[in-house]
Amino acid sequence: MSLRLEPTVSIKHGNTWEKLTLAQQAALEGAWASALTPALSAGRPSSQFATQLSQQLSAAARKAWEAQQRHERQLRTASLVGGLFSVVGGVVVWLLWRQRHKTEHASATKLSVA
Amino acid sequence: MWLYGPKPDSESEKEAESAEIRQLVARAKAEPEAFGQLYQRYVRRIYNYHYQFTRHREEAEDLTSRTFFQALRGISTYHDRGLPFQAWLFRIAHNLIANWYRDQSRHPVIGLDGLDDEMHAEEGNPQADLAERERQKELLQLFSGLPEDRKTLLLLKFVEKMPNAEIAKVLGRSEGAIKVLYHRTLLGLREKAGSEWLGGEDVFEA
Repeated sequence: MSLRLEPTVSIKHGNTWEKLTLAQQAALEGAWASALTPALSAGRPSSQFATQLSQQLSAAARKAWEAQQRHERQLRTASLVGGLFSVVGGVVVWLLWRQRHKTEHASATKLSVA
Repeated sequence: MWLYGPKPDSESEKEAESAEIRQLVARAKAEPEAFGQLYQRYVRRIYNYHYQFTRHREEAEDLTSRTFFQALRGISTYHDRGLPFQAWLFRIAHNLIANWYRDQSRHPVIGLDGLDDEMHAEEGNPQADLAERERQKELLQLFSGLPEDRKTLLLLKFVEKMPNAEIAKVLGRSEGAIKVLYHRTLLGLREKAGSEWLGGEDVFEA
């Protein structure tokens, strides 16, 4: 008596374990694939729909791209204006500091002369 | 460039194709035209995916448009971190189908319209065996009655020829869970269809 061991896959199906050998699995797979694949691949969009959607998508993509470009331009302008303000602000602070320093210096000189 | 023809089979062809897709995706983030090329590649497959669930041309068209518009909106944030573009796109389609199913359960209008036409159109052979067509119709009806996740699994496996790892990403499950679901689906189909359609295979008699 010979004992033949075949590789099997055991799957719990309800309350029982159902065994499937690799050969059985391949047979099932092959049968289903040959029967179903042609029918399951048969859905084709009409060329009118495909063209129309393509146009809508490219219009939407262009619009999104333009909006992104506009947003980037606005960001660039805002950062330029911000940079300009900080430079002007720095100059103003420096001028104020200088003026204050001058006044303090002048009053100190007056006091020392007195 | 592969558009509507058969999908690439050899490993090197698949590798070349996925490299090309990666390049297109990178370009599509900056150039509107590149997204158009991605659309051309996938429109038929995405439409067919939706059609196999809805069996309704207008519904399939609507879901296809929504899939691509969502992809267009999301492509700037898409990164290939182990999730290939094709799996990402099918995941969008799958989520839309899941929502569609929820809506249909509230308003059930699903039919099996056009099964005959579809099979005639696919075969394109007037002398095709009537019995074979009947068998195919039965199998398609069985397929139509399957739960949504099992249908997706069979479509991605048999039609899209996706590996289990990629299917797992589309369905948001582990690879092991997909293997179990696949075997259960095969066993369930065998029970429902009987083994006559296996064409004389006697593997189940042993």
